Amino acid sequence: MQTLAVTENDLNRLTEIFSKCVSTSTAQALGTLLGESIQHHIGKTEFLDITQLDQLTPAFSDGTNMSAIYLKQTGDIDVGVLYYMPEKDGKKFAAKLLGKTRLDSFTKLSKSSLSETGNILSGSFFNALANDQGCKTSADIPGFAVDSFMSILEIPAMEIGIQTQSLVACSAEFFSSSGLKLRMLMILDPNSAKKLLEKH
Amino acid sequence: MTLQTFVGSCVAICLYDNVAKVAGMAHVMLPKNNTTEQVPKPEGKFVDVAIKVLLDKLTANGAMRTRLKAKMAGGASVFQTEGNKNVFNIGTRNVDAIRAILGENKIPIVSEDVGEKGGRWVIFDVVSQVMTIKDRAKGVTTI
Repeated sequence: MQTLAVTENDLNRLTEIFSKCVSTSTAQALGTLLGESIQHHIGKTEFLDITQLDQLTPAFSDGTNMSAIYLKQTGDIDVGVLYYMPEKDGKKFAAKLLGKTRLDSFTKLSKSSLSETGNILSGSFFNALANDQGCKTSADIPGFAVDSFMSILEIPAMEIGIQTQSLVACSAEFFSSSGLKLRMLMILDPNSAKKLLEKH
Repeated sequence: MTLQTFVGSCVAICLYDNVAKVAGMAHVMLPKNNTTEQVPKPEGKFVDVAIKVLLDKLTANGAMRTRLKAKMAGGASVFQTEGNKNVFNIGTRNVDAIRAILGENKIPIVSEDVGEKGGRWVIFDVVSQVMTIKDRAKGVTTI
């Protein structure tokens, strides 16, 4: 493992930055999208080797399979952003976006609507990050998947961890007033984490 | 005795000698060692390092290089984009890297279950050399 010195203090500062952007933008964007009030909880920022992904314990352990959207942001820093929720919540979420009462399976349009949600949430988060930290990024095409937590986690972890084999992961959980829940996992390589802190 | 792991875009590669009944499995995550260390830990992380270490350990435990065969599973493209453009191709790159290194070492791939969209549980029976794959979409298959 090629380790950059990411300290506990660095992780705490990253949590602060992440928390501020989520609170001021992402939670509001999600509330507007769903037309509901949103509560959120910021998790502990972690620094780990790519072989220690099992340390990123999944939220929502009541769901075997997760519906997930993954986007990679590149620019001043490279970041992988994974949004996921239990598969059944993903269907409820998509149904709500499409103005339906229920959705039995993921259609092309429902996958597209969830992918677009990822775009909107990331757009709001990274706009806030650009305004606050002067850190500019642009988003790649979002990908959609339904699979186990470990399976959906591998792609972002490998893509971001390919150079240093280590990751910094920040997380937030969102809960809507109708009971929908969503987790946002932001994954940075240690170099990007350091760059972000230098701008802070 | 069985060896098992779960893989999404990663690949489970098994090498075995069916005469000596010696087998090893590596859960590889990335195609090539890009660190300054010759054998970064854990040893199974990179395809090139993992196969070299597997070969060394198998021969040290009685396997003959000329009898070695391979089975592999994984390398899924878990995330699909609209238009099915695969921009997240790390799984394919892992599989390609394994094929290349096994080819260089003249180790035949007897069977494989690679690509597709989903993660899989991979269980390899050292005695029978049967690889069992548990996949959300396809159920249980053996190769």
